[in-house]
Amino acid sequence: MSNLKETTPVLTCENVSRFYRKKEKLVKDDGTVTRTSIAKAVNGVSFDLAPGEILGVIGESGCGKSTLGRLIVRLEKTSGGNVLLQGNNVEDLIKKDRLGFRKQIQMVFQNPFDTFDPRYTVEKALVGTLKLHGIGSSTAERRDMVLEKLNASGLIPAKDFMKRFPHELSGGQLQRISILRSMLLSPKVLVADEPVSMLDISIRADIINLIYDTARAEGTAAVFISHDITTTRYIADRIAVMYLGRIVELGKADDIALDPMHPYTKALISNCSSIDPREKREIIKLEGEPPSPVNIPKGCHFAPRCPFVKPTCFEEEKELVEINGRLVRCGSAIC
Amino acid sequence: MAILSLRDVSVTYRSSGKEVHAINNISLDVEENESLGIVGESGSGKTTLIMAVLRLLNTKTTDVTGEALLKGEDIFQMTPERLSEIRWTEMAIVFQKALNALSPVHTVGRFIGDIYRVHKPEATKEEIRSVVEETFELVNLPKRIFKLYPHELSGGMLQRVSIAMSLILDPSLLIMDEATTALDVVTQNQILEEIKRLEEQKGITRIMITHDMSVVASSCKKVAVLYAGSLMESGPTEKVLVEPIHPYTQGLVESFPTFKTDTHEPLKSIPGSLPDLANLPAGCVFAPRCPKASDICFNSKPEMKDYPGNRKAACFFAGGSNNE
Amino acid sequence: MKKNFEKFKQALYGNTQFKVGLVMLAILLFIALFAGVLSPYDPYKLSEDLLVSPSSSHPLGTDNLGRDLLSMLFYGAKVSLLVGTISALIAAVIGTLLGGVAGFFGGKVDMIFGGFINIFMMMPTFFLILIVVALFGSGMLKVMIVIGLTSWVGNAKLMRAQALSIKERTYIKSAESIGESKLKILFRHIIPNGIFPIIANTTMGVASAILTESSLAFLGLGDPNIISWGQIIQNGKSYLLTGWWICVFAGLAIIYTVITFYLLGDGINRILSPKLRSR
Repeated sequence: MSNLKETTPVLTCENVSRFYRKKEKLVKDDGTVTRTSIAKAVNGVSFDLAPGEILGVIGESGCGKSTLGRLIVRLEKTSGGNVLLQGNNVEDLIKKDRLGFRKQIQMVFQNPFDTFDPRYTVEKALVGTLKLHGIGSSTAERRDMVLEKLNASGLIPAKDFMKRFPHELSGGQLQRISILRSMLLSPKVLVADEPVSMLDISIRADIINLIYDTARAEGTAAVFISHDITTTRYIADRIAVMYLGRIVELGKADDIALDPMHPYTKALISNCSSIDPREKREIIKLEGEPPSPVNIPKGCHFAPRCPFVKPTCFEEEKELVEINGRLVRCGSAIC
Repeated sequence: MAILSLRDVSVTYRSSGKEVHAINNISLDVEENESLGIVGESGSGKTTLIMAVLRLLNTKTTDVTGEALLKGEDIFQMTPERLSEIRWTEMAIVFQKALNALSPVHTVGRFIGDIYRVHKPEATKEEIRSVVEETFELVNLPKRIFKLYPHELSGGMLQRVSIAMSLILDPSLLIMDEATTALDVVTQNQILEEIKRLEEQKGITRIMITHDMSVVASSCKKVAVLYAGSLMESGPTEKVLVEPIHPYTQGLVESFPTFKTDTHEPLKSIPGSLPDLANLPAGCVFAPRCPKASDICFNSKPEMKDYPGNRKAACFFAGGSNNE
Repeated sequence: MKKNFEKFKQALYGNTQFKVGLVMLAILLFIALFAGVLSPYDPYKLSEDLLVSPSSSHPLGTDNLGRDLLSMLFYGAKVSLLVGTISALIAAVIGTLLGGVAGFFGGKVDMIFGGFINIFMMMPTFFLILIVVALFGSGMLKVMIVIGLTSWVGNAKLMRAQALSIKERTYIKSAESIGESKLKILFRHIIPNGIFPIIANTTMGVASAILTESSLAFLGLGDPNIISWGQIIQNGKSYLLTGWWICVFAGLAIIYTVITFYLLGDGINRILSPKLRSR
């Protein structure tokens, strides 16, 4: 890790935020009053990603992890803060050279069944991607490149797969092709947004291993977004835990998984699924409902559900503080 | 006594000249107070099986054969009148998408009350209300929910409402189809705890259909593993999920990531993909993906056989040795 | 593609409306294409047999100028089909583009384009056509263009709704992240995947364009140099009592054509609906 830190980060998030304005109608006695409320989906997220490093981002649905992914690949604009690719602001890069920027940051989506245009064959989708970025000099050459990649990843016979339409392929096959397509461009950063959550358990490992192996082989840095800490721990070097748009804990994967410090991380891990019925588990129960990013109260965002809450937690939100080589945002963990 | 017995149940979909064999000769007993988890991946036919038992399949395009005995009475032979009589009172279902199960223009209290009224026409308004509120209490819902509309509730609350709905007429059999899948882990664990408590209180037997083995591990006494429409293995949960004897179950269990395994040791998976249900292999359906498969597996279908510890498995090599 | 085609063929066989419509269209096309050969007389040729009732020499009788009605109807078929098809195509192109742009780009673009679509929807289009034709004359081409320019609103609404839903699909996000430009996404992914209801609607649009053209001709605003069914009715309306056959047969021809395209459109709609598009 220490040698990674010395190199310049390939991706930097500086205080990245994304707010959504929502119009809510409040009917009062004196007529209709329209009020806008703000949902803070991502709220001041900062981190560095070293070249070749894999960062896991975990949290429950609604914590803003998917929005963060879309902000990094610039499918959405930030409301505040900057995303930097090798020190250059993403907004400038996309204005100057859209294709060049897209080539460097790629994304794998949650739903493989919907990742490809239903009217496109695998060949059309993959060869078209190469052509778009001017890779390879002729269609024949591009076809050969795609064939080779398909063969290498076990989609055999590749020639047969080239002619298929998305609806003729299984979820696992489609997700493989989606990863292959992204990796055809040799990106600097790969963002994978819940890439296995819609797949059967028996084939998830294939997809995770494929992401891990290709990213490691090509030196691609990756952001692996997931709700499942167990899987994330396998693939990630570091893990960031998000709650209500904020990073609450960030550190080495094993530190986070085996010795969580933030109460929310502790609760998340204690609720982690297991298939061994004999296992005695101490599940930390969380009070209240899962979070909504609208009208977040003052103080620590997690305070209303926190089992270790103190009165001071409701007054002031703590900053991320470094403890034992990791960042934690919590008063109780520090004391 | 078995509360529900499936005898040789098969389901075939007919579409555009093709026959899709979604369920093949499944026999299964659900004993009273022994919650059963039916585990299967996509295409395993777990939902089809339950739809067949509930008689919710389109009879024009589906053939259902075999017997499904609910307390000794064959559901497949029931008249429509008898069927609507036993729905909700004998067997109830909770679906994955709770929002779809409720009416958007009625308050949840009114909607559930109406179900009660259909089966108990003599009930007074006050009586219905108190029954509904009691049921809400059972699933940890506040009384004020009665007057709310479905869109005003969170996902966890909605799922509790649909569980309350299924309990309103005291069914003896409760079927849950991926009922906790859409929820986050924290809420899921809470609801599973509540259900287990309820079962003991009210003597309900539950069938839990899910793709998630951890749900079965934490909430079911028995488990049945489905693959490509056939039953692979069944038995007590703490045996099947800990020491599986069928290669498919073994593969599934190994694929499940656990905290104990060392980091970055390559994850395991089952190679290959599901067979074409319209064109099933002649032998064992799992043979093409099975690490232990030999000639016999490709040529003849293994029967479900008994194994020590009240377990069953359909494999020639179950438990490590060749039994043929 | 092949598989899709197979599915399409199967859907066709199961769709009576489409089959009947197709046979009716074939008959209509045959008549329009071979009007010259099929017609017993030259439809423009005047004769002394004025207002002859249907007989063996004139199967559908003649009009007030002694022209053979059957031949006129045959030639009119050509005009009606041409007007209907071209106007409907113009409407389809305009509607698809405006609706696609409004729905896909959203935000301010949608406010402007969507607003424009809504304003146009409230416009009494037939009177608009009347004004335009009255101002600029009533040549065949002008009539076609005017009908096309005023009947795209339905298509635009459909395409906008399609674009709004398709743009949220993962494959659109994935195309964007791969680096495809917005315009390319609109033309390569949004429009081709959302075009099916517009195809169905356009087929029905042919029917309504034919009706509009007939109405124009009936009001005396059609192209006077060309025989069209509307015009035949306009001529014949003065002879409803003495020569009923003129209006009746021309009216039947219009009804036949409108039903043809309605059946086709409805059939296409059923075939292309989720059944075929589903995975």
